[in-house]
Amino acid sequence: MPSLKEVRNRITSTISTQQITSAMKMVSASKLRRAQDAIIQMRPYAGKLKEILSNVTSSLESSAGGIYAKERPVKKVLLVAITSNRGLCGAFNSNVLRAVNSLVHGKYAEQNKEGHVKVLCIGKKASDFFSKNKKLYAGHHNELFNNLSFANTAMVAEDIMKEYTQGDLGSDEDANVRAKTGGTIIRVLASVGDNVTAGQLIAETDNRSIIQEIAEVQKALASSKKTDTNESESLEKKLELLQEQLEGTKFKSLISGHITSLNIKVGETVASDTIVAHVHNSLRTYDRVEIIYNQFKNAASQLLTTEQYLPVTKPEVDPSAKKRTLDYIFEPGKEEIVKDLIPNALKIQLYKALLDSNAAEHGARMTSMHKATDNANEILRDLRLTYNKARQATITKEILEIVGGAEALKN
Amino acid sequence: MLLEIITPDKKLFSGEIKSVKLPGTAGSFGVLKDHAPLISSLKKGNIKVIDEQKQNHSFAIKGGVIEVLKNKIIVLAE
Repeated sequence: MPSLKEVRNRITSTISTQQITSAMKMVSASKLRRAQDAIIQMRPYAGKLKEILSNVTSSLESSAGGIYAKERPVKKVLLVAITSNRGLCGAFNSNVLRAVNSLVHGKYAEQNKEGHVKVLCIGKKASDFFSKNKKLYAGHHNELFNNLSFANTAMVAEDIMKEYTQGDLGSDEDANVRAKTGGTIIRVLASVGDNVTAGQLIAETDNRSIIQEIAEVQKALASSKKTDTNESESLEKKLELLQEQLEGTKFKSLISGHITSLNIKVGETVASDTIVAHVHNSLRTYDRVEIIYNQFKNAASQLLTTEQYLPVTKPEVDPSAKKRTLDYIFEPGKEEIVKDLIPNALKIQLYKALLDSNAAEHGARMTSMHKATDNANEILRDLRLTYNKARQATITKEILEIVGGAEALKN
Repeated sequence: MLLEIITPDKKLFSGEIKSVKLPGTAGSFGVLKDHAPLISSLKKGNIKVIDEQKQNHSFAIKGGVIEVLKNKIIVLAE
């Protein structure tokens, strides 16, 4: 039998825990209301946008959507894992993490083998989990939940879209910069680790003699133009050749990225076609983007959803919309409008996922805190029973002792 | 004529109006009563509304789209 004091301590600590959990439940309930309101606010916008989009695309025959709708062979994958910033909400976060893991090792196992699956984390729980895994981790946007607004979400969505569209350029992973024309290096403009853009000058060889020659040819050309057409033609060809040579003395990066190695120094002589630098493409590009999040169903239940974000799945054409396709005037034109609307629809899609996840989080926390409060109640009942039993036992013991003492005195 | 200006976060404006001027991508344009059905994209600029009481309202937008149908104008602004 535990001592009275021990039980009393446990009772007080359980009561204070219960107070915390019930307070958290209240807070979640009010936050849930606000999150639900935000969803309701967004609905008319999303609904109307979808309606207009299907209205326009239904009367548009060509595959609308351009770059965002084009299916590409899936080589690189981005998974957007949306969790919460805080814990204590049951299986809410672990469900998302488990779903992401199963995607990485199941559906995209092949891409993962080559290290081409990345996870973008929204919510601290996901970033805590994936930041340990450097191969998968692609950064986080935990700050979104501090102030969940469309403008902030739109920026993240734009980043994702940009990375997706860049994937279409077919940029190589790495690229070597070769010397086209040999010569003595006179200038090196970059160093290892620098970020360069495509077409940026990295180094130059001695080109003074070529520049001089060009000037001479130009002079000769100017004078020959008046007199000899045959000569001027050949001079023009020579000029072209020289200008090509001049271009060859400039070593430029072919792609955007960062320089991983640089094999030249000022004053050194290089032969033509040697590799002078190596540029690694640090831009992340993706062929497919998926969002994993908890969809809000009602306060007590969440629906774990995996949505394809990019390429855009065709908006299903509402049959009733087709009937209403009046002869709208389209300004500036149907295709342009669709081109304008699709990025907008994508932003809304991400925003909706975030709002849903936010509401679901508060719902999940509310139910789990409710359960915790109930459990605390049960523990309290048991503890009070043991406490009273122990109290009764001591009282009985004391009475027995007194009675025993009185009996002893009688004799 | 009914005008609604909605953003993803909230409803900016809703009410009966006389006329509205919008920054369309193909140039600024106005909409009066009994306008033909129209769908147009909008660029960054100001929406200028004159309501029934001839009061002026102005809203700055970053872009969006407008639908005009049977004297009902819906602006999806950003």
